[in-house]
Amino acid sequence: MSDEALLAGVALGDDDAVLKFVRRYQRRLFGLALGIVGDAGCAEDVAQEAFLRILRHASVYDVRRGPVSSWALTITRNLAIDALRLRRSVPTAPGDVVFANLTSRGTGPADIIESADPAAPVWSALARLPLDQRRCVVLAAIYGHTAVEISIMESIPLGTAKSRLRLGMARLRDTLVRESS
Amino acid sequence: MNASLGRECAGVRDDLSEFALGILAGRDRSRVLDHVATCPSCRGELESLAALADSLVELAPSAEAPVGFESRLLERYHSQHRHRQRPKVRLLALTGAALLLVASGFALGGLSSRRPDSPSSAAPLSANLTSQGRNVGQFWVSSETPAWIYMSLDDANWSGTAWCRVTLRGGRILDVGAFSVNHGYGAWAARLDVARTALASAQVTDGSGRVLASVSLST
Ligand SMILES: [Zn+2]
Repeated sequence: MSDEALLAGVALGDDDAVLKFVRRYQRRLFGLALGIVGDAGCAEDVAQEAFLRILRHASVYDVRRGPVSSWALTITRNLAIDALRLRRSVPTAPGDVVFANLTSRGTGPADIIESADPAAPVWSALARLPLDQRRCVVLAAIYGHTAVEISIMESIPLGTAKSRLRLGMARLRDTLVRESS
Repeated sequence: MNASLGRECAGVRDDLSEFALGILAGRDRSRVLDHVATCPSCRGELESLAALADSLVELAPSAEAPVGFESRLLERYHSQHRHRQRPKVRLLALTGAALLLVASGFALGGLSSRRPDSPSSAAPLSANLTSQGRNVGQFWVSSETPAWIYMSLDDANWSGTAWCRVTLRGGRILDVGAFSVNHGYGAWAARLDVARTALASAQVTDGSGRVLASVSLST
């Protein structure tokens, strides 16, 4: 069953659809929250709150704004960043294998996913960014770090962190637009 | 960087990626919002960067949730829902058309407000967001159809995910979406599928429906 159909079921109060939706998304929402807040207890709080909001607002999801996954992940990401601002003092580089893959030299990430994955073009565009820009984009977009935090983590001036982020985002966007047309 | 950009645009473009990723500080966010409300070129740039930000979040690592995550979540969900008395509908009983209607959230048929804007309304409409008579932010509506809305909260004294709801003339209510408010600061933009002349008021609420700020757009 498609994500959209599941959400429609959730909106109509179908408990079976709720359970299926939670099972389909819990690893992704929890994983995203964990990557940002870095603590399993806090990540569970964030992921649960995100699920409750998604389930409660299933009827306002607008299919024309993009996939359900992006909507659900963006809600989770925003909540995680909120939670993080209240607790993170010293920024540290993520220790998970995805970060290592996303930011290693070569095309690493593109090798480990199937081309049928809807995120495949994003992985491959990311793999072609210069390593320094790629690290900044990943730290900001996936792990919720600010430019100030990135400048500390990468031991670079703030202006450099901001410009790497801006250049990396612009190049990624241009690559994806070019390849989808 | 495009050398033909004005100085104000160039300054805003430096912050646009961070804005799209939700990691820009409150004061800079307001500056970006003020600018994109009047600059279609930077607004287009922001739209494309925000779409990219949504794609990038798909790459986040998955992780096994702690034991009991699902049962704790479902218990919370059902305890909140017990009071709601929603009609139970078997999913299989829905037709494809009904599914599409629900999935697309707000299908806006039958709006009678397609009056052309008057010539004097080309500039974005701007009004204060207030809470109990106090100004807590700003709300803009662009002049094009469909209209963009932008909002910036800067004194709401609250953190969390805020929800925006718009009331149309005639009483129809649209839940537009959600954005983050951090220690009173938050900013957000969305495109509505209606002309700005159709808007009567807007409310920003927390997840439980408590009103954090509201604005009346009657002219
Ligand atoms: Zn501009």
